[in-house]
Amino acid sequence: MHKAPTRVLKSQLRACVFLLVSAGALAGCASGDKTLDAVDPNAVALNPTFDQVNAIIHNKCVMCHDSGSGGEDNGGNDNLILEDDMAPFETCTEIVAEAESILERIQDNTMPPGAMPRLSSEDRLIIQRWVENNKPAPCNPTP
Amino acid sequence: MKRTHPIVAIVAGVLLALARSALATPQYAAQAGRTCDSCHILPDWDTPKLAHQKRNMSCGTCHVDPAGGGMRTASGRYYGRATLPMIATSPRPQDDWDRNFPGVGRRDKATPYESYLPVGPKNLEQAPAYRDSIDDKWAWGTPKGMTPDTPFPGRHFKLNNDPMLRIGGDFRFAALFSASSLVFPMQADVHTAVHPVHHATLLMNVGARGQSSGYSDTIDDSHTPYFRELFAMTHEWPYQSYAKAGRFVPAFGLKLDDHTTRTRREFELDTSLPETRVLGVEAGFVAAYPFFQASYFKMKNKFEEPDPWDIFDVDDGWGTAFNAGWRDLGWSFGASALMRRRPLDQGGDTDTYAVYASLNPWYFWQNIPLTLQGEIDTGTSQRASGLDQTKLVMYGEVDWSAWNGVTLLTAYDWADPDRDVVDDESGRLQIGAQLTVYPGVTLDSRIRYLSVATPTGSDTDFFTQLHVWF
Repeated sequence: MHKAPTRVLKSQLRACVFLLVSAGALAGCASGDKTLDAVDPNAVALNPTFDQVNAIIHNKCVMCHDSGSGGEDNGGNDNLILEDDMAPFETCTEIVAEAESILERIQDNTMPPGAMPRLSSEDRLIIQRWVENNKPAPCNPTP
Repeated sequence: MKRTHPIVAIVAGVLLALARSALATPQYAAQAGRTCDSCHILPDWDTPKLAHQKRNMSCGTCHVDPAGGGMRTASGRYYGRATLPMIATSPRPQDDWDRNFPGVGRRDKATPYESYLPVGPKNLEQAPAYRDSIDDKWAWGTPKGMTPDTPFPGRHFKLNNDPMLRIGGDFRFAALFSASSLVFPMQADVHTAVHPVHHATLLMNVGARGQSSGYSDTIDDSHTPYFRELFAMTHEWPYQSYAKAGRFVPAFGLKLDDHTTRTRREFELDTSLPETRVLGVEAGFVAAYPFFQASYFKMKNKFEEPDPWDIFDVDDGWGTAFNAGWRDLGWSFGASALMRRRPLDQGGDTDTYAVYASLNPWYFWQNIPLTLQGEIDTGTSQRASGLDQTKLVMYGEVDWSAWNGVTLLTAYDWADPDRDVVDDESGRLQIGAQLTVYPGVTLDSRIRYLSVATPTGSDTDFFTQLHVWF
């Protein structure tokens, strides 16, 4: 059961080196030099609807940017939200008003914050096209 | 152009430093590889024939579901009580290392040895004195057809390893600190396993999915609780072969506790989500040492959650998965494949392939007590246009059980979700600790650093989770 320590050490060192080289090779071989818009223009709708945008915002943003945002008293949020300058994105009006800011923050990957997963290329393109189409929405019917 | 992340170099350094330290102790499955009662059973330290052995390297020994995760068996629960906590462990034979600081806390040699035998119940007369330590208070009855001579008796002597009825629970509360701070309920599962006759089990796991938008949402949302698992199974046949039918998650890759890893999320296998559940059949064996699992299933539209309670709520597509490999005492290797075929408007086709491995250096040479595990996945899925996108994902983890109930860990996952698209890859480094203070109570805290392609986007947060389970 127990092999010679030096032999075992060598084999384990080889295994560690193999794993690390593999990890480095994987990270280093990242490919692609075009945006999703250029690679596959039909990957998302050419004219995204507010419902599509709202679904993304609801899933990715509203856990923090809800109606309780904007104050340290947590507002109506029953989570412990401690941010005093966070704009809420719960209503159509709020999303339309903050659309350009939202787009900027998701494109530079500063939102969602921390180590939470960033938006997918598809989600970004949906929001980008919706903003470029003047943000059509029930609360913004004639942009 | 995409860049090679400097984080790889950092991870390399950390891994190498840990590998050289030779001061740590492996945990969980790796511990199982060096515990004597993986192979031998009390009271006489017998060794069952290979076809009847239950070993902790196999998911199905500690979990009711042979694919792993979820409700624990009576044996798995006892093993957890005996090996994981800082205090109040149960005595059991364990060829383990004394990990505590001198004079601090309880020594890890929970069961001292006399000659080669652990000090425990060596015969029926001694057994009552140890009854409390090996009893499972959440298990009742004996299935019809089970006798003391039935194969697969478990390894812990008088423990009621295969009760007729067993219940369990798994509750998690989380806090996340970054630009904003969130405290939210993450998960609450209540398990029930009914085992009326030998070879037959019905498993029901009702999960209340935590809503990060708040406690009231979690309680009020009618879709929050749902059948996470509901299947009938015939099992405990030679070489731990089994077949099950119902709602489950197909066996695929490493069954990681962290459902946020990209190896799961990129391939619709995030076990926290109802939409990863399928309706199907799975058959295989999880023996010592080879394992093989194959499943055929139907699933719900990718863009919709299935009905919480109607497990037959599926759509037009179908899928199949294969998982095979070898779990030895000091290492394991496996490979998985999964394909889905469904209309484009229901999510389209996917093909996913994985290879994974683990290493338990302790088995080969004591005092190299680390656990290493990793997985590499690649696959294709269809964009809404019908064109394929190719994904490449990896995961690696090093665990170091520094003291009783204290595991320090480093994990790194990296994903390129679309190989054709620029600047969509990201890597996440986690450094943290898992403290199992008392049996069934674990505090898991991690600093997480996400590295993304855009210069301003990389960021750090702190995640902590209180995990209560029985």
